[in-house]
Amino acid sequence: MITFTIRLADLNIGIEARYDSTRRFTQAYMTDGCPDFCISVSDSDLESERRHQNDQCRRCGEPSVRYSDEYYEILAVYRHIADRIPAYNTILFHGSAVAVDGEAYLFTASSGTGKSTHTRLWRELLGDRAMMINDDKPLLKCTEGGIFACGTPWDGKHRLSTNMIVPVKAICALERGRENRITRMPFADIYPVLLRQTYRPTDREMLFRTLSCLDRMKDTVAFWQLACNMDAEAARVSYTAMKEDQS
Amino acid sequence: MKLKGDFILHETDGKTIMLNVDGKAYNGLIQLNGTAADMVRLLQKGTTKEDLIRDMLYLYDVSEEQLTIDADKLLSALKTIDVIDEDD
Repeated sequence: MITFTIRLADLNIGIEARYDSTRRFTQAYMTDGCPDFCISVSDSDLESERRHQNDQCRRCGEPSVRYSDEYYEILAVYRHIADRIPAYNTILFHGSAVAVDGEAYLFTASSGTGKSTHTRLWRELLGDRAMMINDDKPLLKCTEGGIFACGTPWDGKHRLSTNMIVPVKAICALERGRENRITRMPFADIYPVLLRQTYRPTDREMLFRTLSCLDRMKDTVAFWQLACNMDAEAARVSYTAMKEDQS
Repeated sequence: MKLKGDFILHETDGKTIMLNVDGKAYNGLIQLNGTAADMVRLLQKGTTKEDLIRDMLYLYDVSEEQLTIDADKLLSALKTIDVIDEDD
């Protein structure tokens, strides 16, 4: 077994893994610090990830694919982290998170809707001012003082992430549309989307903690709904509205 | 009569939501008003429809007829998503 510690969302996480590929995958987040908590991966965890992947393929109507145990271990490590980390007021969120001028903007939607495409348009619009925090599954640290988007190496197929922690200004639910239109949303209306896109631990206490984290978003994050196409104009519409919003 | 599976109730933004802990009984989000939330708390422990209405009469100053209407509405909705075990 290989043991190492990584630092995510201001927490040191000890990992006991079978494959060095897992250690290399998390290299950019390695730390010498003492772990706040530790996780290890078992055979049944790998089998469980294989089943999850097959279930996902079945739901999408795609043929199931057999990946390597090395890949399943990488998935299993993040699932273990996601299961434990609500104890530290941190949750796993499905979205593409981009930082601009020190503020994070998250775009969330079902897979394939165009989150990554949209944050790519932001990068094309804003150049070096836009940095990807995490293109797929950032951690969100939910404090009383605000919500912070945290980079992690589990950053999607384009491998876009930065080891950074940035306060979240806005979360935007994205859907495809012919015309680009953005609308400010009250927390109550966006809540079902937030819940759907947040990892839900199967432990009761951790699930309560997860819901409490979502509640903390209400007073510090602005929520939006964006219908958009893939034109550059879509980024101008969303950026202008979300950046200028001062409420 | 009891809920199938382990559910939690959580108050957020003035509403109560009901979630299945492991997602196996039901994977969605159920939003409840105050009366429905109290009925669900009784269903979590297991009850009959008659006991449910009797217990709710202690909590709410409304007619038995109104509570019966509310209970029927809730039970019908919960049966639609198959989260009520009527044999328990």
